[in-house]
Order: sequence, then C-alpha cells, then structure tokens
Amino acid sequence: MSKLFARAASSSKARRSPIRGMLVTAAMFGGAVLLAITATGGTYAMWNTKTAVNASSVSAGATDFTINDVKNYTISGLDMTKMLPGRSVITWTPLVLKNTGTTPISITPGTVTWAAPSSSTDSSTFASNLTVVVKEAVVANGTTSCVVTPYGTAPASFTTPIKLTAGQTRPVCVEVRLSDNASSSVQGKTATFTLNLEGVQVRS
Amino acid sequence: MRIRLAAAFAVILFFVLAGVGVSAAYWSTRDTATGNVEAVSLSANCQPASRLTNGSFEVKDMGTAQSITQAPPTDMAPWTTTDTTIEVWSNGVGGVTPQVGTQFVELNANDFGTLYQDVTTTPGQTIRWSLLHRGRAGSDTMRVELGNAATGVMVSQGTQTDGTSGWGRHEGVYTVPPGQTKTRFAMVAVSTASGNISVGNFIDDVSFGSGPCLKVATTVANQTNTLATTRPGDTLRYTATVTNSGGSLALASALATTLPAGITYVPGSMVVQGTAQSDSAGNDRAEVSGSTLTARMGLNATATVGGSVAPDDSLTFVFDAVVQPSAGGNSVVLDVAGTYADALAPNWTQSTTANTLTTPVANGADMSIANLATPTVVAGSGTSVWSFQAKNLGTLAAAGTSAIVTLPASMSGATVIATTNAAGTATTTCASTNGGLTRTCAIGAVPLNETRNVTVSYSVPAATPDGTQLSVKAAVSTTTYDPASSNNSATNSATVTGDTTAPTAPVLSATSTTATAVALSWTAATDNVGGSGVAGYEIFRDGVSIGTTTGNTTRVYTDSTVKSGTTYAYTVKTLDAAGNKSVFSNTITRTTLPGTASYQVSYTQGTTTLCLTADSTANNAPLRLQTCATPTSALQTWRFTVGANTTVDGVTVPSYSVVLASSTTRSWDLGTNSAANSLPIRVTTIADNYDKWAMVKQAGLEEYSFVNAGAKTCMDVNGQVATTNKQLQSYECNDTIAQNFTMKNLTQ
Repeated sequence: MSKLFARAASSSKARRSPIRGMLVTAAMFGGAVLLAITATGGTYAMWNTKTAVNASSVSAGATDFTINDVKNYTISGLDMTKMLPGRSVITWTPLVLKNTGTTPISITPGTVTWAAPSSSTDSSTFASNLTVVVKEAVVANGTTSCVVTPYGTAPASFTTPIKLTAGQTRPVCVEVRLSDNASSSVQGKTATFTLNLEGVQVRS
Repeated sequence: MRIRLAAAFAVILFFVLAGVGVSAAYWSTRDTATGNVEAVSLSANCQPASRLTNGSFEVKDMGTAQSITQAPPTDMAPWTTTDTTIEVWSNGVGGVTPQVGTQFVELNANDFGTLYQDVTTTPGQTIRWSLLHRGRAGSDTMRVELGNAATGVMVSQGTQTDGTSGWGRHEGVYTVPPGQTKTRFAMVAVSTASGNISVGNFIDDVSFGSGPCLKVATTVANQTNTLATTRPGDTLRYTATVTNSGGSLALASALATTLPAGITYVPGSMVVQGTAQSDSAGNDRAEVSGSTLTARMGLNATATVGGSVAPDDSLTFVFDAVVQPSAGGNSVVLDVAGTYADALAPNWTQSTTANTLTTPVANGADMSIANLATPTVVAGSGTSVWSFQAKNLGTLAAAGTSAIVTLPASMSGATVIATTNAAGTATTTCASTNGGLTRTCAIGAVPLNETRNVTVSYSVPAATPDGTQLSVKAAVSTTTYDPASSNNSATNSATVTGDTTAPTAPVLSATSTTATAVALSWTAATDNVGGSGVAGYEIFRDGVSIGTTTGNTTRVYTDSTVKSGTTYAYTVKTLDAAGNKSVFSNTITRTTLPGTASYQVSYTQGTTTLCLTADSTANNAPLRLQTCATPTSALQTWRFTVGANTTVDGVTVPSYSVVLASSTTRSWDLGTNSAANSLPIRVTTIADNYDKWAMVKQAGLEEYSFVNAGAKTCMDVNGQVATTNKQLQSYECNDTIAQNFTMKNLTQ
C-alpha cells in the first residue's frame, strides 16, 4: 500500500562537466530501475496510462481507498446489539469510503471470512447462520443514517459498484443478519467477521 | 544525450519488469472492515426487566359514561406530554371501542403533541415495542421515536398511518445503545386527516419492554396436620406460582416437576389456575406420566401447547402428594421447572430459573403385614396353615407391636402363634377372645426392616363343602407413630378344594339267584390317602342304577325287581364322601330261575332249531326233537317246578321238575334210573331225583345244560344232529354243543 511517485528531473540546456553528467546518468538509471522493481511488487500502484511519457518526464498514479480513513477498519459496538433470529445488527453510523488514490476507483463487496472459533463448534454454528452485507447508507433531509433491513426481508449488499473519483467519499453501512432458523444453541455465542472490499482502478 | 538514453532505458525497463502479465494498465486494492457480533442470550431478559407501564391508559378510571376527558398528565402517569393535557376517551365514545380495557387516548389533544414515557433500561438490552393506532376523522399519522432520555436525542422508528376502519398494530425491536440507562419512548403527532391540530391519532395498548422472564416460586402446605414437622403419611399440597417479571408476553408457558422418591402423587389433585385437571393426557391442561406432572399455563393454553403469561401475571399450579415412610428422617426435595418462549425467538425454548423446595420429614415406624403363605385346603386331609409376615418398613423402630387375627366362624378351633424375634425361634401363642375367633398376638418391639411371622393352623373337617372360602384376616399395630395405615392389614383367603380322587372299584360276585331275586356281594373298596373315605356303593343292572348302599361295611345287595327266567348284568361303583365315584366293578350276569313261567326248550344245530316235544301226555311218552310250533304246542310247553337242591360240580344249585304245562304230572325222566349213557328220555310221573334237573348256564352263551339230579348226566342230542323225531338221551356231561339248549319264556 505504499505510494510511489517516480519523477524525472527536467533536462537542462546548460552544459555540465563530464563527471557531473556521468553522475546524473547513473542517478537516472538507478531511479528507473527502482521505479520498475517497485511497480512490479506493488499491489495497487498504477501506471497512469494517460500520463505522457517522454524523455524528460515519467510519472505513476495511485489506486487506493480507505474506510473511515484506514485500510483495515474495525467496527466497534456492533456486538452491543444482541442478535435475534431473523433480525439484524447494523453499524450505528455509516462507514465512509474514500478514494485516497489519484485515479478513479470502483469498489465492490468482497468475500467475508470468519475468525476461527476459539474453542467450540457453537461459534462456528453461529457464524454459519450469519449473513454479512454492505450497503449504501440512506441520506434524507441532510442526514445520513443506516437503516436496518425489515424483518422478513433478506438484507443484500449493493450490486452496482461504487465509483469514486480521487478524494471522493461515500457512506456505507455494514449489516449482519442472523438466520430465522438459527437454533437456540447459538444464544450468547460470539463471532468475528472480516468483510473485504475490493477496489479496482477505472478509467476516468 | 546521456539523459535521454537513461530515460529511454528506464521506460523500457519499467515495461519489461512491471507490465508483464498485469492487466496491462489497471491496479486493484483491498480494504477490510472487521467486526464482532453476538447472539442474544434470552436469559438476560430477567436481569433486569424493563417495561413501560399504563400502556392501555387505564391507570385512572374516567367513569362508566362515554366521555372525553382532558386529563392532567398526572392522571395518566407515568406518561408525559408536550401538550397541556392528555385526552382520554372512555367506553366507546364516538363509536370508537378501545381494543384493550375501557380507555384510550387521542394524541392530538390540543396540539400536535408528543406523548412519551421514560423507562429504565440496560445498554445492549433488546426491547420490543408495540402499539395500536387509529385515525379519528380519516388517515392520521404519528411517529414513534426512541432515544436517550437524558440527552433528549431521539431516533425515529418510522411513521404510522391509519384510517378509521380499525386499529392498526405497529411494532418494532430496539436495542438500547451503549451508555443509555434511561430510554424515552415517544409518540409524536405528525399529521391529521382534517388538519385540525386537536383532532386525530387515537392510541391504545402501548407496550415497550424487555423480553419475558418467567420465575417459579413453590410453597408447600401440610394438609394432614398442623404440626411444624412433616411426617410420613402426611399429605402435602404444593403450590407452584409462575410469574412473568419480564417486559413482554411469555409464550408456550408450561410447568413440570418430577416427584422425588419420598412422595407420591395424589391422583386427581392437580389444579391449574383454579381449575381441576384430570391426570390423563390430551384432554386438558395437565397430565401425569409416571412421577412427572406437567401443566400448561397462561391464556389460551391447550391440551398440548402452553399459553401466554402477561407481564406481572402470577398463575398457580397446585397438586397434592403423600409423604412416604421411606422419606422419614430425610428431606423431600421438589423442583418445579418451567419453559416458555419469547415472541422474538419463538423457537428458542427458555427455562425458568431453578426453584427447589426442600421439606424435612421426621422419622416414623411403618409396620406392614402381608400374606406369607396361603394353604391348599383339602377338607379332611390334615392341617392347613395360613401365614402372614409383618415387617417394619419405616425409619424408626416399632414398639408395642401386636397382631390381631380374625378367624372365620368355622375356624374357632385354629391354633394361632406369632414369632417374637427376627430368627423366628421365639414364639408367642396369641390370646383368644370372641369365642376363639379373635386372637391377639403380642409381638413386642420390631426394629427397622425386621420381620415377624403370624401362623394360623387348622384342620378343615372332611365334611366342609367343596368351594368353601376360609378367609383369615390379620392386622398389625404399634404404639410408635406409624403414618402409613394402608399396609397395616391383610386378608389371607383359601378355598376348600375337596376330594377329587375317586376310590377303588370293588370286586362283585353273586351269592344266590332265584326266580324273583338276585343277591349280590362285593369286596371292600378303598379311598385315596387323605381322601374323604368310602361313603357307600351304587349298584347297576344292565347299566342302570338300581340302588345304593351306605358305608363301607354293608357290601351286599339283593335285587328283588327281577323277572323269572331273565338274564341280568350287574356292576357296582364305589362312592366316597366327596361324591367321587369309582369306575365300574367287574360285571356278573345272572339268570333268574324260571318260576311259574312257560317255556319252549329248543336245540339248535346249524340253521336248524327244533323244540323238545313230548309225544303225548301219556306216562313214559318219549321226549323228541320236533319242529317248534307257532304258537307253541301243548306238548312242547314246559314249566319248571323247583325241587330240592342238588350239587353240580361241587356247587349247590336248585333242581327242577320240568313238566308239561298241560299235564303237570309228566316230567322229563330217564328211561332208567341210572347214570349210564344213552338212556332215552321220556316224560313220566314225577317220582324221584331222576326226573329232576339242574340248570347250568353255559359261560358266554344264553344256553343251558340240564343236569339230571339223580344220575348227574346231561340231557344230550345223539350225534349233535338236529333232526325231527330224534329222542333225547342222557349222557355224561361233556360241555359239547350236544348238551346245550335254549329256553324261551312264553309268558313274556
């Protein structure tokens, strides 16, 4: 998730000494190598295909976003609301997705993983009865809020990817629903989930 | 130049290293959101419960008349309003009937007000709310808001719009946010159909509370005595009271208890909410299965499903049980448990909190008595023994124990004893009263679990009728407290089975036979050992009973109903006192003597039968074989006139003059008074033994030989040939067919 901006120095029309010229050439070569190696190992750095490539200037953009300003956000207080069969818990306030890169990005819901049950199979059974969705927050009268999916209606994640330009934000909510068929053995059980959000660079 | 070369090299190297196989131009990234979730534990509903009160606006009765009251908020506490009053509607005024109780309110009392109530809550608590809403003059709209009573920050739970057709039910679930210990439940008037600020938004049956929480409290009351101490034998009445201390209805509510070993259920004693229940399943709200009692509680409970118990409701389940002797010195521990369900998780069965009631039980003796042995009584067969065993089943030694035996009237002569130690080596003879029919046995002390035996001995007389029932009763008592009386007596009944074994059959013989009587005698028969003894004999003639004798010493019988010249078969059976009969004795056949009857005497050889016929009635007329006349001829009709006895083969038998019926002076006679063979036989004047004849019946045949009393020779047909005119002769008796003749009684 590191960022890299490789920038080549502007050429100079002034004549320089041979030693200085050799040093400059070596430095530019080293910079090019560093740029290439870094780019191949990065996970989100991009090459801006629109960026002009010429002898005097080479630049790279960044594809990145945050959830409430961090890459891995921990939702607190979700377990304050105890779960009932057929009912949901939802983030009290929306989570804010922000494009912190330099290029437009498309964000979609990813997979959900569960922390391995620490000791009992009950927690695993509990997790198997849970559904985690991420959906856009409701904005009304200038207020943004998270609204629980009504009882009897299955919650669903947003299906149209959220497209954010650089610096743009979007409020979303995470809702977790316990199956109506969950057995009473899940009472008092806890589970920890991780919801992945996938961001992909898109053309502006 | 160097700079441009370096830049070009860098670009080329970048594409070589970075561009290969990576979507050529787009990059991706991944963020994560992590959270913890927890399933509710419904048992938390009990710690503590939260609930709104006066939800139906009944706390103050506005009167029986239909009315609309602008009540000060204090009348409807703890409700509060932003309006100046709370408008209470009573008893269906305006045609609107309250759904619950007799009153409801109009939210728009004087303005678009807010009616609210603050409830103490626990952060994280799951609260469910519900209300009835109705428009007054059309569709009115209100909004439910929930929030922090301390800060006044409220969150809408949505709007509710209803018309005038009826009450609309609205409900929701709310989780108390962190730090919120007092939650405000508010109903906000949003709009009215008429636009009138004081006309609209009826509200009734508001609830806001945590889940149900059933608790059971059990009490016990001694129905037998008022002593502070419970003793074995006491009847205890258990009352289990189930109370919903939660904030909402408890569904599928039921109670169950399994009685411990120290008590037993009193059948038919279950009462649920004041109504008696049967013990069987499927017909009402309670049943008994083994030692487990189940009762379904609450509104709309059925024979299979428990009902609902409203918050603060207390319902009772009552049943009786009797303390068993085994509980003496111990405690009876009863646990009544309940199950119920929360409407928010109807499939999650919840259990009431543990409720154990311990009842100490004092010690006590428990003397019991039971049949030990019942005799098989055969009348007259010896001594029969009835026995009982008394035992102390309690938890305390029994002192001053006695057994009282009651005998049937016929057994006053019985011997009754009881053992007085565990080994049975010490006994006491039971004191006799009441003419011997009551015996009192002083057994004394009986330690725990020890036994004492009571024995009744009696010889049942032989004359006792079969089927007689002889019931001996025994009751045990002790001066020590003995709470269990149901096992203090026993009845030992035996039925006299009588003698079912037949005696032996006698050996029958005949002592004499005359023309008018047959005298019989027989040997003495015997009965089985222990049997009722020989009571007599029954005499049969030709298979028909003709008489009996009594006792075993009279073993003769004379049949005087015979006809002369007739053959009879006699048998005898032995009778015993119980009515059993032996098999038939041997059969003897006797032919009575001729008497005054007239006979034809014939000889048969092959298919030819000829009659003995005198040539005439003249003296010395030959006796020949002639064709039998039908009707008979006077010269072949004979009478037998008894004469002196004679001896034949050592047996004394009567002799007869065989005379012509038409001339009583002519009798069969030898031609010469001699024992020589082949002497012709003729009819002569009766004179001596040579015209007398003894009759000897041939064994197995209805034929006779005639033995001459003087010569001891037999009437004989020479050559054994039946031809007419052949004169009969005398010949030594040789048991050949030449000497066998048949007699036909012509007078029968």
